[in-house]
Amino acid sequence: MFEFLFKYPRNYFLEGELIPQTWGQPAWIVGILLVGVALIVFSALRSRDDLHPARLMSVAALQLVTLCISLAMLMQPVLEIEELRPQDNKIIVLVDTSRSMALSDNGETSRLQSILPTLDLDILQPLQESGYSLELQSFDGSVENVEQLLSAEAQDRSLITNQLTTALRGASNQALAGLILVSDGADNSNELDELWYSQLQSFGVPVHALGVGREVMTEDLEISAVNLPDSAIPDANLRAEVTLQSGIARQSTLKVYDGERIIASQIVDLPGDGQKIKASVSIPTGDIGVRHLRFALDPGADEYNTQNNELRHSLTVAQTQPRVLYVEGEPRWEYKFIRRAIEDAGFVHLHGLVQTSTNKSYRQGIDSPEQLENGFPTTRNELFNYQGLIIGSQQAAVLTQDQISLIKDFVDVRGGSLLMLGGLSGLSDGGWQNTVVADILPLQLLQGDTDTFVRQQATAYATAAALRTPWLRFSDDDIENQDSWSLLPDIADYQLVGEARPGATVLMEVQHSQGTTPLLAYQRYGRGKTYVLASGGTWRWQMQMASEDQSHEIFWQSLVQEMISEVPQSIDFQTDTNWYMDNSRIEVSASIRDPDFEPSGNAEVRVRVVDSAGQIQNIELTPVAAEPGTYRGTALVDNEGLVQLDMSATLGETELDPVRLFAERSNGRMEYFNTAQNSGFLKRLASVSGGSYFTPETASGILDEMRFSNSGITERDWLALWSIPIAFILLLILKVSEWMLRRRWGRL
Amino acid sequence: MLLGYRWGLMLRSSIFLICVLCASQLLAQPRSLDFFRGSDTSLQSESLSVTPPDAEFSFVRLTYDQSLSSFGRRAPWRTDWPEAGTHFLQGISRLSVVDSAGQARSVRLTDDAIFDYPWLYAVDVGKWSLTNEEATALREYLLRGGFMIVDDFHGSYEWQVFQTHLRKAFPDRPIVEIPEDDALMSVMFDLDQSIQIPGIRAYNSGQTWEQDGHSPHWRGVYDDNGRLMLAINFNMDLGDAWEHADDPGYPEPMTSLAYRFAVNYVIYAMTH
Repeated sequence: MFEFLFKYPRNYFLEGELIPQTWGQPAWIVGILLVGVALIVFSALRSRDDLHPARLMSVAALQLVTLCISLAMLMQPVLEIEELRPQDNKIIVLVDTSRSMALSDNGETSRLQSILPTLDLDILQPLQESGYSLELQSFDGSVENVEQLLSAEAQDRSLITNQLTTALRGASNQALAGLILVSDGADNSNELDELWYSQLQSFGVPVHALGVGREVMTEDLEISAVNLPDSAIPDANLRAEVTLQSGIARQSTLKVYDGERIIASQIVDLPGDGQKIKASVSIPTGDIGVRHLRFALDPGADEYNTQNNELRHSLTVAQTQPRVLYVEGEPRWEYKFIRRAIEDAGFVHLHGLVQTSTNKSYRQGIDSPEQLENGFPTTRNELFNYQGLIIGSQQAAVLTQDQISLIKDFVDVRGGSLLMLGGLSGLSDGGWQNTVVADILPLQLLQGDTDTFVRQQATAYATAAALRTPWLRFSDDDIENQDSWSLLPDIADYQLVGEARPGATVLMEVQHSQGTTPLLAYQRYGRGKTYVLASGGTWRWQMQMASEDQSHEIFWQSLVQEMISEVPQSIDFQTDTNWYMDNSRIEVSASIRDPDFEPSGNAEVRVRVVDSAGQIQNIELTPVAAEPGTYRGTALVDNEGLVQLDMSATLGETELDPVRLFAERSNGRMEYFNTAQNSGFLKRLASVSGGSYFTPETASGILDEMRFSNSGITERDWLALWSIPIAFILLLILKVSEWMLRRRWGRL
Repeated sequence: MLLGYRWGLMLRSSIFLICVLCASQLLAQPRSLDFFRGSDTSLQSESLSVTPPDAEFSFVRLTYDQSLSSFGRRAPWRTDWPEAGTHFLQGISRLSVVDSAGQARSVRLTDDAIFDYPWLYAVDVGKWSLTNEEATALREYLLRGGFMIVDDFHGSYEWQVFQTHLRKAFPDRPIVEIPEDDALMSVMFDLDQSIQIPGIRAYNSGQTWEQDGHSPHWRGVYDDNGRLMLAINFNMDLGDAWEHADDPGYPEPMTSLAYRFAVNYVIYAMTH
């Protein structure tokens, strides 16, 4: 219709430039216009006695519009366009032949097979007929025809970014009018960033994307990610956070295998529509050694792609000695029951320092008689040996200013975790609000002389944030977890505190006679974390619930385990990921600090990499200038299987403790993940490069889009607009309208 | 006739005396029904269920029924009441920084309020009697983390009575001698296990033992993790040592040692 009314396709008007006048001089046109207007006015004045003024104005307006259109046509406007000269231009058609294109969206034909007819009939043939020089490429190289695409070797990874830039770079000395990318957009190159988009834009060649595949894989289940530490201590329970998704709402079973043995199993409800959820599952670490964990979702009955139902994670279980110092200014039940809960789990070495009389403290769980002999640590070396610090009902005034500053440094510099408990001499009643420690806590401490500690039973409950927190759960099942929270008896006491600081997370609140105040909160501070539990009465959970009930133990074990997890060591060694799917680059980094946790920039750090075939690489890590104490390096491992990485370092004459890690390499896996068409990526790359995004249904529009490419060799043309049908139709309508009005008013 | 009259007078006098004795006994036991059961509820106004803890540590005395063999005597659970508890708490306040209550309390095992007080003292347990329900509650109390001290019972017979009823709570858990190197013996004060702390009657009669309990025993029942949950002062009377702390007639060294044991018991219970 558009082309019928306007004589030319819509694109011409969008891309072309309008030149309004090619005939006559402006003065003539103005003169004719003035004469025409004068005639209309004269005619109107003559008829003023015969017609009502409003009717007279209507007729005059119609005549004026008719005059304007006629004048516009008389000026002979043209549309200036720059159109490609097909015979002088080349178009590259790049077809994604990665493994994901071999997947089926309908259970019968692959994505590649299903798009070939459209590619051939709607794109290649019209372009060829238009005279363009076509180059058909697969991700494996050039091909002669569409049939050869099917025999192209499927790539393990969709390196769309690399393939695109390679194709564009290869045609940089040719008249390339555009590139048509046929793909599902599943890029696995890990190079997709703003820099790449800038690079794509700099080629100046429009890339048109033809999206293939469904945007939601209704029948598909997928484990997208597993969040679990790389190392753990024996006989502990770790919480793994597993990201899952499904095309439709359904129930499935998540299983965790250690080899062939199921060590955890959980039923999960998936919401559908590809919406990702996080399931929390408890993993027993077991004995010392390496656990090759496999997280698997039971496949759906109608699922074609089951390769993405599984993810692996290597867990190194080693006997380390995480240590927590617990300081109490008075003997109290909270200390006893916390100690029992943690001691029973055995995952941490808890050193207790309890003041028993004015001049005497009881040291519990210490390693040697000299330890904590003089009370609270006075040096960095002594305090920084711990990963966690719990301060209970302890007056701040008992400590020196240096010791209080040391507590702040423990969190800020060392990266340790600090937990402050409520109590008769805890928090504000212990004078902590006037120390630097108050500044690093997640809750504000109340000022003033009023007692804030209340020895009165109160109901503590979990916030929504707590119910979402994977490390603070009583059960893997959401409903059971929520029930367990609600079944907790009242705590024995609570302490009034201020509001949470911005950035802090409140996990528990306490309801009491004066309202509701935060009870448990945490936040990151510097390199470490701080927690406040404004009560000394969680022991009541233990005494009020059946002896078999483990709620109190689970709560404290979870809290302390979270405190000591991710606490940096003086020597830290890590890889950028755990399972290297279709990626041979293993990025390793080490952080070296001295016993006072000051960065050591002059260490020699080496990594010995042994792959599954026994091939050995020795890598020297180089210091990172912007990050003192950090060293980085890259290992290239092609062989699939387990990779062992042993880091050794020397600092001056001192040989530092070695660290061992494991990672896994595998090929041909990544393509089975995120298999839905990534139309967002395809649209973005098309938009950035000046091209457009098409679906198989709109693919025939590519030819028109090609004509006005900004790239390649073009020719200028001027298209006459005076003869567009819409102008004549308008003139006709205007004159007929005037005639009909006049006839109706009896003034023909 | 005269003889008959005298015999009649003697009989009437005897009946009168018996009645007076019975009446006085009944007056001494104001809750007559409890008297026959051997318990005393005269202190129920201080029951735990109406007075929640007002301090971190409370001296809580176990209320129990007495065994058949001790029927008619004063309720054994309230032996040394209330001075032993009062003096105990004063000692704890003076010798440690434990936040302790000013007044001792009492509770039955069947009262749920017991679980708000993880420290329990039972006296004269050679005469105690536990129902199955009480035994179950005691077992649960100790397994959850409660700590109990039993005191002031002597000799093989009372040991037998005590053990019989304790076995209802822990049929298989062994009762052992607390080793010298146990943390209890040094948690605050270094304690000497060889000294027998006597009751005041025994001491006044010139001996440290009662019945056939000649040697002191510091015994205990441990949980599965090696933590003492029941401390047994056998052949000793620490309760008297606390009760008579202000009595010039009772030897000060014994009171002093009993206080040190008391502090160690409390610190141990609050740290283990």
